[in-house]
Amino acid sequence: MKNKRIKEDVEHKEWEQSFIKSKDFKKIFYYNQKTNVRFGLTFMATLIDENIIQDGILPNLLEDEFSEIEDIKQLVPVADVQICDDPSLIEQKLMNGYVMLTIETELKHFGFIAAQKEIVRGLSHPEVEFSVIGPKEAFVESMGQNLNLIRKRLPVKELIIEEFTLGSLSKTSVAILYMENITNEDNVNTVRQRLKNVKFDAITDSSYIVQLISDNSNSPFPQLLDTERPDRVAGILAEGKIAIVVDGSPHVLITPTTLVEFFSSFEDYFLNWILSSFFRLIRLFAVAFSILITPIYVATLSYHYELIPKDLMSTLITSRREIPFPPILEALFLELTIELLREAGARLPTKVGQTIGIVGGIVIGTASVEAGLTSNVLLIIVALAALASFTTPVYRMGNTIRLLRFPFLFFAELWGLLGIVFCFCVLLTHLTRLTSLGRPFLEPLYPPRVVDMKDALIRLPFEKQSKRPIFLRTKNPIRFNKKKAKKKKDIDE
Amino acid sequence: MKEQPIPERLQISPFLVFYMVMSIQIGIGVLGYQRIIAMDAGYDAWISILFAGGCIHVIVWLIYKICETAGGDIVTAHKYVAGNFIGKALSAIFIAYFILFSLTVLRTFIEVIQVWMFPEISTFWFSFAFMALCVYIIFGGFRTVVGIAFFGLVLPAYLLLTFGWAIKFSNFYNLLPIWDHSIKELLTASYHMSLAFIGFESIIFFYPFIKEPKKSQKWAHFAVLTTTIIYTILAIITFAYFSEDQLSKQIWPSLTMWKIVEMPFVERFEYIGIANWNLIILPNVCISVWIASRLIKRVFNIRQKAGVFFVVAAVLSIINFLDTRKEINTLNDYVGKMGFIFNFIYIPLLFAAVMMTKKLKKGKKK
Amino acid sequence: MKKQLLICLVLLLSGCVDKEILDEINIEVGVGYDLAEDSKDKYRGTVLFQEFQPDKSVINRTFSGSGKLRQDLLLDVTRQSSEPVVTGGLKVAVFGPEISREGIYDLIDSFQRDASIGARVFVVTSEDKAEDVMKGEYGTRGNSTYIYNLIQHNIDHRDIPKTNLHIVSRDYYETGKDTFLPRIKKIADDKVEIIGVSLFDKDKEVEILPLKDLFFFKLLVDKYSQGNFDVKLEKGNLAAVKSIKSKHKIKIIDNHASININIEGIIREYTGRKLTSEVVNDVEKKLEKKVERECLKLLKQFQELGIDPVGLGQIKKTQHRKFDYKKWEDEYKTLEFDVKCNVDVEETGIIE
Repeated sequence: MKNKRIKEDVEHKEWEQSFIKSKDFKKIFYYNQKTNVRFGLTFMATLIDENIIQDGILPNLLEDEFSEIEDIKQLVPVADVQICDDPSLIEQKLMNGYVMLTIETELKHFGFIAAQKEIVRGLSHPEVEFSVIGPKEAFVESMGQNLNLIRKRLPVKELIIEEFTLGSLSKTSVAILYMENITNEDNVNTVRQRLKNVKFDAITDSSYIVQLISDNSNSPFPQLLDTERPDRVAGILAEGKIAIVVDGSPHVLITPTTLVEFFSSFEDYFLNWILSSFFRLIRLFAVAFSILITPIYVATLSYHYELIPKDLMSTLITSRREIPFPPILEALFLELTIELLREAGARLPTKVGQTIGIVGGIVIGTASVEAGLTSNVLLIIVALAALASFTTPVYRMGNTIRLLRFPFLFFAELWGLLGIVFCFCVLLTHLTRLTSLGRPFLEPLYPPRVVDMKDALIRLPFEKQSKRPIFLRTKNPIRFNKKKAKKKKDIDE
Repeated sequence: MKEQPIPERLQISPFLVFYMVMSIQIGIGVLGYQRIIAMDAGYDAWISILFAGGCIHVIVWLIYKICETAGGDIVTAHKYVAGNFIGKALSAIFIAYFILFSLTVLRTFIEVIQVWMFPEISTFWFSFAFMALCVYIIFGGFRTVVGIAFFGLVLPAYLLLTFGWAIKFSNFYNLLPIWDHSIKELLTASYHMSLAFIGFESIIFFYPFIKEPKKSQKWAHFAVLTTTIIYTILAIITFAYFSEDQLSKQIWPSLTMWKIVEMPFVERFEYIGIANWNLIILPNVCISVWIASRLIKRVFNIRQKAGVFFVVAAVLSIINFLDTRKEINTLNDYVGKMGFIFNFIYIPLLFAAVMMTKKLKKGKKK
Repeated sequence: MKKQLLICLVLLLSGCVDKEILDEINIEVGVGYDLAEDSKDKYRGTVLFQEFQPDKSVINRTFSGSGKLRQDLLLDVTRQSSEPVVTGGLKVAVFGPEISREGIYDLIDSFQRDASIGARVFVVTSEDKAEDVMKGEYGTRGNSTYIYNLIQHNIDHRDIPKTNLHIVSRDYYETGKDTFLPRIKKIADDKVEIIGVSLFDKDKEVEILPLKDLFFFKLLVDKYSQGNFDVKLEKGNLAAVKSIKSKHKIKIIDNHASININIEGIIREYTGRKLTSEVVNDVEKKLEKKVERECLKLLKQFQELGIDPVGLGQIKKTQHRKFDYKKWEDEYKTLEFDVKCNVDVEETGIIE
């Protein structure tokens, strides 16, 4: 009789109602061989590592003597064992991969033993932000692993990791990382506040966070930088920025950020400053080229024939003489084809995608020129523009740049060069208005801060980087003492 | 009644005053001032530019003194001198002035576009798009306005270099003999420089938005100096490039000079130049619309957003009635004259009044 | 957002401006003007277009029209052309012989007024009718490019003084200076050549300077950066002076103009035995003498014609305050000249 009551108590709790419906919900009862105490293990089979139960938990619980729930802390060779008496925690713990231990003598207390199944993809090369020189580790989908990668690179106690749980359904853990002695407290507070204000049920990736906490969600520009490189995160933490790690996402977010940061690859820091400055300028030029060249083609051919040098005139006219469409349609047709190829290439498996890209590009391009649908000059221009847009080191910004071309095309069709400049003014205004975590997005271009230029359009040598960026308003703006670091030597000393 | 100070996060660094002053000064006047001053003082007119530039330094100094003494912008100064009601009435006049200023700049630019690029572009629709952009900028707050002023000056700065092409076809002996004109002629030329130079008076309106305004004074002077130097150099190149009678026929000598520019990839530069000028005109219109709407807010105590819409509506409705070269020219003349009166007559008067009030108030306290 | 969309839509519908799509217009690249045979019309103009073939060769296409104004000509031409005619590509304007004597001011003024015409257009006069010049087949890159490059490289390396539409109109408007234009002649159906320079009094042609005087003419009105001149020496030897750089300085005091010409050059070719330093000295002396003589002759000639292509009046103006142009016109008739030339031969090539 007594036994039955206990059984019912243990077996038919209210919280179990919905659990029982899932096939991976397991509840098993055992008797301790020494004291004959009946105990139950409850767990979600899909979340836990059965080996831990088989080898770590069960043998001890069955063979060693225990009568109170407190005893299991000594018995079980697992570090994370918790005991509590709050039934509301049960769901959360079970869902996080804990095994719940109940003893019939102490029904009010539950023991939770961590037995998570860690299915972790092995560390791999960064794929989006690949670099030839420098570390080859990239973040994976496990937050623990990612934090480990960062902590390893900044082994100081000042690196603070704060954790939040977001999403009413997904219960995603989100961690913010910052250096306590460097990072501006206001910035940290803003991030905390924004994260707390997030209202969304399922956050499955850091991209959700990007869109949910950015200053202006109607802007095509990403206002948080995402990276898969632990070295980059360590680098920016030392500058005084904040990193946001989201469990389940191999991309870590960085904030506050500026426009120029999106055009600097972390590889820039591995190269000599002259080379990296040169590459940065090339990249900026490529971006400007990629956005503007097709609109300029359309504007010039539609309105400003006077601009074309007389030696180029014959090339342009002969290439266009058989084309039945006005330049704008021709340009739109080609641009959309390129976008199509890019989109198809991105959706298909890598190898097929590459083939589609190359074959499609060559075949469609050549065919459309031969069919007289587009001029070969424009084909060259559009292909170059597409190539140039791939130089952007941050993929998210690359997408934005792909998009920006179209409003420019529209205005070029409308008012020629004047329209291009007008559209540029709109873009400039938008960028000037944009902020990242309340800090101006265009810094150091505007507000103009010459000191911060040392690591913007160009990158000066490390000796010159003795100060942290001004716009972060860091607690400790000095990176190292410049005077101590460098003593100038006279000749032959 | 104490006015609310502007919170620091909305204020701008003192050195940005440099860009503000320069970008509102350089606008539509640069395109044609050479002809106007050469009509008065021939090829000695560059001396007049230097002289006018010198005078402006004095005015800038007066402006800073007025603002410091009154502790705020022109509305505060008026209130300080003439009391609340009359002060506000005085300030209200300047709303009209700045609406006219933005109107002149925009209409003249559209005229340039119509003559040089697109004869059939619709005045109204272009102004409409332009003003929509201005509203977008001004709604971003004063910092965005300053940002546009900054980019509107820095990005097109390369255009100055393009005038270098003209040097190859110039004859600098044209400037000789120096001082071939009477002082009176030189002074008239200086007076006619006013349309090209006005705009610096905007300091008196955005003074409360400057962080540590005292530090900004040197930047304001520096800006005026730079503008003067640019104008002088450009005038000298123009005088060397054109012969005197030829220049008297050019409505926009600066644009005509671009015709000689030839680069390997660009046959004719003036189209690029005019398109780029859009970026130079933008801060001109934005700042004046901002000032006008700010004045509306200060004088009539309505939201600045409503003020912006009012100013934009005013500009858009008047601009349709200005069609011919003659009308636009008259408008330019009037605004030039108004600017002259405001800067060189009204500001010294206001300065005297502020100083007197200060003495009186001190006397009362004793 | 809705508002923004609406704005875009409205702009799209009503903001459009007329297009000039490159392959759907006829770009005027050259134009020739003659006097019309019918006295009712004033001008007969021949407009040159280029038609590009798929193999990038160029077909020259000309249309002629007549009218009282330049715009009338264009209207006339538009009636014959399959596509709209635009003037922004103009590179060369040729004036026929009668029209240059009649006066070219109206046309120059019209060029200046047209915002789409550049400043680097070459304006030249021709020996035969401009229409015939336009209708040739020169080179493979089109007539206009051919004539343009012909004049350009003669300015850069040979004896044509710097000129283009801007300089022509500047000189025209300058007090105390007269215009000159290069003169070309069609010598075969596929060839044109430069035959001299036309000198203008105001806008009327008064004299044609032959080829042999051009070297000295350029010394007086422009500066050389890369000239050539052959010096005849005794015993029939010749020395070619190359890479000539020249500068002139003119000073007018009272009624006397002193002109100083400085020449630097390299001897590239010598037909004699040995190029000793005496020979070099001799070359320098000979050249100096020759330049002084010829330049003086030219100046006298200009004075007789009552024209001033050197711009002595302008020079006097820059050197004297309160210059009175009326008085100068009389003074010029009795102005005295002296020409001093100084030649420096700096190198004699890579052998001695």
